[in-house]
Amino acid sequence: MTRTVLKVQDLHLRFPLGRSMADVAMGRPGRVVNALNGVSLDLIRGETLGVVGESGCGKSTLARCIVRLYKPSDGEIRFNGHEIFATDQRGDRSYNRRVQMMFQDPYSSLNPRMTTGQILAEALRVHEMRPETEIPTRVDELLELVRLPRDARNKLPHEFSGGQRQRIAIARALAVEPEVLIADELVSALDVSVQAQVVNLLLELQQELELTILFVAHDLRLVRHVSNRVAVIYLGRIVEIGDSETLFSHPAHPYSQALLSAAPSLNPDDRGKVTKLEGELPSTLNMPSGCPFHVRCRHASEICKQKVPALLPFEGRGEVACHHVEKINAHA
Amino acid sequence: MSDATFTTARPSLFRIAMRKPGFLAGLLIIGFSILLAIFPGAFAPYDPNAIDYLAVRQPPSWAHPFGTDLLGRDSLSRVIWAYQVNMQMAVFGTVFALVTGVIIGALVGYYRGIADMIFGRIVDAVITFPFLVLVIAVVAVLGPGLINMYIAISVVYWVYYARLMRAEVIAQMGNDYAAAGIVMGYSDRRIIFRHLLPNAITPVIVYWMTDMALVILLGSSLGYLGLGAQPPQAEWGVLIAEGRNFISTAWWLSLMPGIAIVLTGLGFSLLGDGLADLLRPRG
Amino acid sequence: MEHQTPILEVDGLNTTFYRSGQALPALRDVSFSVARGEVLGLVGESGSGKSVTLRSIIGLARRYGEVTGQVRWQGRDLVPMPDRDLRQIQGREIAMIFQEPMTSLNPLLTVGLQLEETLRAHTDLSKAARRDRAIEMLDLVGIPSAAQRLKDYPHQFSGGMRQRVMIAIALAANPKLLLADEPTTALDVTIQAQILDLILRLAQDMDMGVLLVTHDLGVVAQTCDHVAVMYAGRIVEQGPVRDVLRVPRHPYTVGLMRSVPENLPPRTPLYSVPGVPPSLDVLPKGCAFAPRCAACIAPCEQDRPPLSLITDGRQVACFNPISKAQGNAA
Repeated sequence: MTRTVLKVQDLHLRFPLGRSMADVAMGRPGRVVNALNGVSLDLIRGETLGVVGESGCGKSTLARCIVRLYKPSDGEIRFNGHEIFATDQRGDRSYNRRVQMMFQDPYSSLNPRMTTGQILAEALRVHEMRPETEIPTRVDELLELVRLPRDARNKLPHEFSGGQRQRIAIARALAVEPEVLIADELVSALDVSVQAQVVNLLLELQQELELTILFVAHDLRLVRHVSNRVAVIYLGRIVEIGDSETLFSHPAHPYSQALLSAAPSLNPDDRGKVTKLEGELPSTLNMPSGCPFHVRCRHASEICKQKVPALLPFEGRGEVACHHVEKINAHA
Repeated sequence: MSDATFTTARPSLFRIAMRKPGFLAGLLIIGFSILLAIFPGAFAPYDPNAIDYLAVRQPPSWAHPFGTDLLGRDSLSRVIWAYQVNMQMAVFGTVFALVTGVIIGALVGYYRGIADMIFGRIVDAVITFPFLVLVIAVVAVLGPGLINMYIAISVVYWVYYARLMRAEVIAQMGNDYAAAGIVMGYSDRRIIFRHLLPNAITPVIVYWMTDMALVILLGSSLGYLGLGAQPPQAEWGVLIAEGRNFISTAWWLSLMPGIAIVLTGLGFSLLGDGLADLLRPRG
Repeated sequence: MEHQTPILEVDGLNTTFYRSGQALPALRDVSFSVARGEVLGLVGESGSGKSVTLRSIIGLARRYGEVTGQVRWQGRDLVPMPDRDLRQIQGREIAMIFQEPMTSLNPLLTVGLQLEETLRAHTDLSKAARRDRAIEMLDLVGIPSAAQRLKDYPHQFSGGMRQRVMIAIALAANPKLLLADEPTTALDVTIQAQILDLILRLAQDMDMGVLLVTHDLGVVAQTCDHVAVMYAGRIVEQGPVRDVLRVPRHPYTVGLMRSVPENLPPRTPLYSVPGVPPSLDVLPKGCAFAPRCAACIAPCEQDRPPLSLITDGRQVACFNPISKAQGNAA
């Protein structure tokens, strides 16, 4: 069995916006949103890979491609060596069983008209995880697994708090006994103290069930805490990927540096230590040429405007996509 | 289905109804209307077709609370027997449109694509065409009568249900539970009919209630014009038409069936409003 | 920083909402003060009453509930003040910005028009002067080519830029106090850093007090001079930011700080306060935090601990506060 469970290679996703009348009149092609621009990464069995970036950078899009909610325009995703878009997707359910996803919004990811018991039983039944007679027992086991009381199964989603609903979503994903869990901003909508409870649960379950997790979030402290490795995404491209501790303590890419220093620290003495980033995320409609970050980067030079930097190993600490990575990190 | 093992403890429909007087009134009116429609004989004091030339066009009295018509038939009994026809209209005039519309709307809303574009053109065509004229045209071709009227209404009306359903399904698709269903590997059929439909159908049900009132009105109009139910069948539109020439001397002939129409319409509206509150999922 | 006498003094503020005949104590006995140039952070989880505090000060809460106590604004009490008089203070002397910059701007009006509207309502400037001031404000909040952007509609701005526009509108009339309700929660970290920076700079330049509501202790640490921690409608701890964050004394503050994964060995269990915050309709008899508290002692379940002074400027509402040494360890 290979160590790589999921291999994403040169993934592109373009959403056409359709041609407006003005475009047709001017003879321009229709506009296109470039959500992903060549993302490659390996998800290794048993690890937690964190994916961070600002809103609109493509991290959720990537997650949704992996569970086949979006079909990429280019590139491939291999699960245990098999291309996941090659088969008849809706006909082949075994992939859905093995790669599961949990969503951000605890208030919309559960069908408001089904009880917890019905939600979990449905997953078990559709995938024939248990014979019909054992389903109620298994539902109880799943509730216990996510530390919900047994009487939860007769309640509707609105009777639960946000944190409890995310536990139900975790239980639903685990019902089909997957190998890989995609957590898309799983705890972003929760209060800090509840966040901690859900994150602890996820880490425990990972140990217990030997899960591989792709943890997508914008909260850098949280990603640092749960991940073994981290990928930083900017405008649909990975700009840096590597071991979590190394990356967070010594980010090499200028964007990673700015992103990490912008996260407000709990120590009041860190005030003013922020590497301020000028400007905002450019729209994915007008992608800058060359390095996507050059318009906001203080180190940008002529080559950055022309050539897209490749994601290359840097000093044995992960991979970085920057033309000037040696120079920048030599200064530091 | 063994899903029944997991039942919810909700407050009973009855207890909720007691807290909403409008809904309760609607429920009573429509409940009683249904009783009248099913057992007219039990409530009507006379045979609706019994002709009595000695008691022609008598004003309301203790013996005939709604008076009698030009053949001496008891108006109250005729209005009660008409419930059978008019309530039937409310059901048969809408139920085919409801079922077809809900299914087509849900499918089109879920799959989008070319089917959705074709559907859009159909909606445009139907909505820009004057509805009553269309129904009259269909009835004129097929000939008058109740069955042809139902066909005429259903041919057009499913579009309205489908349009509403499509919009609701698209809105529900924005919720992650639909995406979760796809990720769970559920079949399209299961996602559409078990997840999206129950959440999307509330406004359609509410619209159905008002639509039943509208169809009664439409059916009566066609009956009045001689294109719907045919005399001597007791039907509110027909009854109003019969009294039309005597409106200054025998006002009760047209007024009493008119009141029945208003009351039933009111009942459906109140019921619809109440259901809109009741069916909304909490949380 | 040396502070002058306070401009806003909140004293014993109570806000009660009613739901199907039942009284919900959203705020109880909230007292604090803000001086010019000072940034006070109100921090807590959802339902703690931090937003209700802002809304009670500016007169938005009294439309939906009952507000008692005192809100002294330059010698006048805002609580009993009639709406007509309050409107003279809202926007002109006390301004407010919200979490969601998209929904708090009118999508149908240009940004220039909305800025001018505020200026017309709160200043005596002429039309030409208002336009100049509008450009000046957009420039001040860091919107490039301000003069051209006056003609743009809110949807033509990004989230961060929209929040800047909101700030420009709020500050157009030179208010003395800014109420900021989670102004950066909807924004990305790099933009959040820019906006917080902007608010701090403007507060200093305009000598304006700021009351900043947030759920993020990191934002408090990086922005505020003083902080008040709220739980179930009450302030449980307040004091200078450095002191409170370095040596938290209330068990809830400690729990809140330890839930944040910072300076922890990776992939170890995070500390989490057991249980969930109480619902306002079934508050415990004694201290509202007692059922979740590890340091709970007998009196905590019987009586409500008063917010009392422990050292200079530090107040804690707890019968059994975490000792200095323990607090340091947290």
